[in-house]
Amino acid sequence: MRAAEIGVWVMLGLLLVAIASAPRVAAQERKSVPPRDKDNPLTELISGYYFTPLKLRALQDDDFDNPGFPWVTQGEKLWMQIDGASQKSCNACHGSASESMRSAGATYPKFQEAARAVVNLEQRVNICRQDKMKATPWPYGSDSMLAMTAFLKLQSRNTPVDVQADGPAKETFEIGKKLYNTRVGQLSVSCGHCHNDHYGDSLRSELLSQGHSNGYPAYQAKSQRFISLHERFRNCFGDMRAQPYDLSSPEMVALELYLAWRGKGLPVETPAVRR
Amino acid sequence: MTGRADAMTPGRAGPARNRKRLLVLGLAALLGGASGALAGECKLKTAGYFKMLEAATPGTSPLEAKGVLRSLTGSLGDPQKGRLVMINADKGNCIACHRIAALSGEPSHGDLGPTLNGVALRYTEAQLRQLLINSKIFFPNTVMPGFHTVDGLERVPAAYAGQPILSAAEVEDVVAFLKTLR
Repeated sequence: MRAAEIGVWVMLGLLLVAIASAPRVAAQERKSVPPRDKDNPLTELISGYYFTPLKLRALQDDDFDNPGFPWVTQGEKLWMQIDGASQKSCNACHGSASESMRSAGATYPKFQEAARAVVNLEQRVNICRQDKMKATPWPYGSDSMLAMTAFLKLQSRNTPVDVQADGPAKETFEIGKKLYNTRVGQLSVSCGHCHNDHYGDSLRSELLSQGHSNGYPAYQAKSQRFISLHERFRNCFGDMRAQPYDLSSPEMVALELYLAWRGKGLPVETPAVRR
Repeated sequence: MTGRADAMTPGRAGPARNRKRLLVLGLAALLGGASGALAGECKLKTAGYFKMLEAATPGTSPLEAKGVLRSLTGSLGDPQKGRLVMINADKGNCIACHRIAALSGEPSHGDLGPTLNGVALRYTEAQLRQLLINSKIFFPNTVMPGFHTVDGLERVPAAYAGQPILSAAEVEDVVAFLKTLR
């Protein structure tokens, strides 16, 4: 072989090596975990984090930049604050939240014996406020409640969502499942049609996620607000031109339980940053 | 004034002219009545009307369907108006889910549904009309809304209750535009 020919082959070889060893463009790399129940409608669980633009993910990843973090800080203050006729703070009974509230953020909604119903974290906080602290309950979606639940859920951050949908919670779970799969509104679409069947597709410029709740309460970039999960549900009902359920209603709690079950295994990300 | 029929004299005509006028009036009345019967707007907001439009064997392919043969308004739609309906987020909002090269002036077409490029080569006008009215007839699990139906709708707020997303005229306008996608 002539020198020139050899040269060409060497060049081609080098080119091949370069292509093979170049870092792959992680355009749509989405970390997934397998569902923990075989009757989960999803075959892979992907957090809303991976459907969020990179710049917003960067905000979530840095506690100093995270626009939801002021609520966590406020929640920490409220934890230490004496409130109500009993003159107690949360800390007085529960001590350090990082110890006593380790799993609360990952295991609610759950069935509560005293209430004989499935309650979410917000309702559980109010049960404590009313019964033990003799303090006025905080409305769902109020800044105080957002702050407290953000602070509590932060204690479970990066641990897997792990709710119980069986036993006494089963009835509520079944209601939630039915609601999730019922077509509603003038547009007649169910949650599952978009979030089970079309995650990863784009609705105009909106990239559809799997619709998980692991990051809530979350900062919503498009409205520039820190919002609760039920408020996010209401946005969706509105988009379908459907009559939404009331905040903290039994239907919303049932949906919340179903959603948490469907996302079991995903890490708690509160306070998340979403579009 | 003589009684003589004269083309230049209004209102003064012989029996032949009167018969002609009567005939024209009668024909107009007939046509008017017929188109009125077909018009979906004012009279036919009954369940029967929407049911009639959805007549098809559920689950069959739209390619095998007869479709809805007649215009819902009795006349041809306006493709230019149809284009506006399709890009209006409060109306058809078609580009939310379908890529349509003919509407590439609008940014960010969605991809939940198939592209509509060349759709007029794939479906007849009647099939297009039926797909637009309620595609769940053919695809029971579709995410696509039924655009001219009120059947089986749940939890519709008062502002939208009893009304389809698109009026009969809007359906015809969209069909007219879709027919240009060859």
